[in-house]
Amino acid sequence: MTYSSTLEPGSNADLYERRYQRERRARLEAERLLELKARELDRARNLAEAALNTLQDAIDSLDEGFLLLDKDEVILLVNQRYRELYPEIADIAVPGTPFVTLIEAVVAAGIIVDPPPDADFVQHRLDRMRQADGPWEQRLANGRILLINEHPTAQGGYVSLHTDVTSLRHGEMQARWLGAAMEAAIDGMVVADAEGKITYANRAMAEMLGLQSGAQLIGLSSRDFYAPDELARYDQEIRKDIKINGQWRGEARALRVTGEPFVTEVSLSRLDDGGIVATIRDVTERNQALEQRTRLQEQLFRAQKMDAIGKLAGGIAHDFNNILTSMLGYASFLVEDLNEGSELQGFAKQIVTSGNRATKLVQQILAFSRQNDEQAETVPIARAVDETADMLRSTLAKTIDLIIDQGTRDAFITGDATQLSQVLMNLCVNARDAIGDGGGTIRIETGTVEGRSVVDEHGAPQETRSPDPGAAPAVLVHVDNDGSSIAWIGALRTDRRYVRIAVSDNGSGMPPEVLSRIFDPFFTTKPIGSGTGLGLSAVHGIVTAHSGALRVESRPGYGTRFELYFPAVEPGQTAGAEGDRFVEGRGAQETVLVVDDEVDVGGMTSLALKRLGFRVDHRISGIEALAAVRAAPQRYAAIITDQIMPQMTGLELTKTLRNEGFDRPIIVCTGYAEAIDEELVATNGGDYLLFKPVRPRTLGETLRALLDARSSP
Amino acid sequence: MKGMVLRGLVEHMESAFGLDVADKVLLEADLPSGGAYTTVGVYDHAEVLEIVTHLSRHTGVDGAVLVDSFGEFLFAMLVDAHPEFLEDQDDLFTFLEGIEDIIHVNVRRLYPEAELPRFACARKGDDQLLMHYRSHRPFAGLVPGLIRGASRHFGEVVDIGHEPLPPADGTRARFTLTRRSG
Repeated sequence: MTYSSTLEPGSNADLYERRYQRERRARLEAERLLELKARELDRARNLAEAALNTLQDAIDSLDEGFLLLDKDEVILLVNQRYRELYPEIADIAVPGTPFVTLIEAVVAAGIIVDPPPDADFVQHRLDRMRQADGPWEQRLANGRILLINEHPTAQGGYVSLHTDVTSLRHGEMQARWLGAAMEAAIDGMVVADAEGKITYANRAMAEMLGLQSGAQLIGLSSRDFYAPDELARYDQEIRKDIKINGQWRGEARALRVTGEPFVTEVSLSRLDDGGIVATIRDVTERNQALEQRTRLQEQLFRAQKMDAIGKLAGGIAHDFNNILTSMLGYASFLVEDLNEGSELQGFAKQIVTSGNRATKLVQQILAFSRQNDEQAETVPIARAVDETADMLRSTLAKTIDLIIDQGTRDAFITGDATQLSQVLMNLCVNARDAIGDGGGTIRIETGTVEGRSVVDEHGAPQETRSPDPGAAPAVLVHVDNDGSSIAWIGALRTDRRYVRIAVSDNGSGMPPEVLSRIFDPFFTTKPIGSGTGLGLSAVHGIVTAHSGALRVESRPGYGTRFELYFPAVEPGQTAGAEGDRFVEGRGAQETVLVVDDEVDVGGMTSLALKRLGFRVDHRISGIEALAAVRAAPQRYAAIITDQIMPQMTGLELTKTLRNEGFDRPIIVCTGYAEAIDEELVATNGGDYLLFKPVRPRTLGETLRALLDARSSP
Repeated sequence: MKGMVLRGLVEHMESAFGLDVADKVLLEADLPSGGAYTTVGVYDHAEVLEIVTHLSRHTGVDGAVLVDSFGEFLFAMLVDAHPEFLEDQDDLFTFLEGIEDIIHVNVRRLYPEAELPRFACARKGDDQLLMHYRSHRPFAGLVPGLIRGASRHFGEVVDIGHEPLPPADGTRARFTLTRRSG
């Protein structure tokens, strides 16, 4: 660069002037540069302030408390979150505060409970930050739990981050509690994802399925443990319910890993992620117990009903019997006193006939209510069936075949032969009525069978406890798909052998709703006046009284089959306490003449006497009896005659025979207490008066006593 | 190059050879800056070379000698300007070892545009230090003078071995400093 000067060139003045000019230029340049620098500095400061503000905004937006310390451990930056976490020291948590001052304030304020704020706390806290020994947790007095993470900075300072993990730790704790609770639960619990894959299963669920651990179920499909038809129900119904209502509750049949089905009570709830949480309870045993309880309640109800009806009917029957006795007594007086063959005598006889029918009705009621004194003895079933069949044949139409199929003749029960005959008669009369006029077959079969096989093969109710002899067993009805229905009364013991008597017909059969009621007293399907509705009620009572059971199977249009089961005994043996009674008054093959105009009553009496070891001839009128005695006076060791009979009463017969020299015992039976008495019987030559109904035992004992007295010297 | 260095060179030239020599050198060199330097300015380092070349021509002193003596002068001037750089420094070798990590870090903080040379040091025993110089500018010749100025500051005496490294243009060199005992 050149410049002009007025000074002498090369002189000191000139040199200094030149130097001054250079310095001046330099100073001007410096001023220019400094101004530029100042502007740059302003820009830089603005940028720095903006950056600092941005940084402060950034750290203020953190969820963590943030503290930046310089190398002297003095606060450079601190965010709002930090002050929120430690509100007690917020006023000093500002840039410029030494960290140690902050810690001392924390201790003084009692903010921290763990680690314990002991005498060394401040030093330990500083050491911990300087060592930056990894994240650690701090528990505050207000219950918060903070996770603290501290690192040194490149400038020798420290960054301290404080994260509130209270919710996380509580959540973890709750998750642990929840997990423990779910594992300890009695019910099975399963969580499945939206695809149905099991993501959690508890121990109870695993054990329910036959596994050891819920982990074994992870990844499997919950569909693997339900029967195919249940899966179809799930797809068609349950899934829709869950979609609409968010939950479903019900029962479903599940499968154990062995394939064994079992019933579960399931509660399903939809989760937000589309998964399902399920609570599952094995209710197999509960349902069985419920069914058992329901059945027992039904049985109890039935028994109570039958018992109540029985008591009511029995009471009425007894009273009714007395009334009948009176009515028939006076009616018999009319028959005796009115002119023979007159219209009025005919009316009186009709009263007697109707009264007799009413008496039989009363007997049925008493049989149902089990208020008759059954005569316990060892009864050979084959003979009882034969004798009943003999009586039946005379009453059945020729269009009905009666087939007797005796599987054995060595079957015996303990009981009352008369009542057994009554049962068979009632069943056969019903069979006859079911067959009707079109003709058909009645089949009576006998045999013995083990209780176990009946229970196993026919599903008979099993006697699990000692039956209450006073309670009537329930009627259990099962309906098959083909329309046939089966009813059971009573229960069988699996350790006992039974005599089975089956009466079957190919008549009209019964629908289930009829079958379920046939043992109810006074229930009948027969036309009014044709049936009493007491026949099968009596069967019910008698079978029950004999500790037996009864099975009925019927199908409309195909017929009905009754099977009676009585405990089998050896000859001379009784079945149990209920039948353990010694029977006296047995016969010695003496022949007895029974005189009764009512065939079935006379037949019953004859049957009873035969059971007791007597030979019996039966005549249905006094005239026939008189003829029989006259034909063979020595044949009869005794005569048992009914009082009320057409043409000749029992007393008239007695008197006539005595007049003709018959000196053997004569017993007069009457159902009408007021008609005759012992004195009148004795006056007419009779030895004894018995009132109907005459119990076989009483009859046997009386007859035996009279015969023995007659034969003794 | 920082104006402080050029300003120091002119001051050194004036004090060592007089105002007239300095004035002639600056006139003849016909420098872009006209020889008017301010410490806050930045100038082409070629002006240093021009000044030293013309100074050598006027004075008959070898340019290397001129640069070496300027180095010593420059160190004293830098210490005057920034005494804080030598605070807490106890001896020459420790000071030289800390040039990169301490001094240059602070220089960059003050002058972000500064293009600083790189120094790498390695001790060879207690009394010897190897020092590698590397720069975009060919000023390896300044280094022995600077070291001498520093050794004087710390009151130490060192022998300085200077070994130019390829391409031997003053941008790279190795110095061996041996502390003289006593």
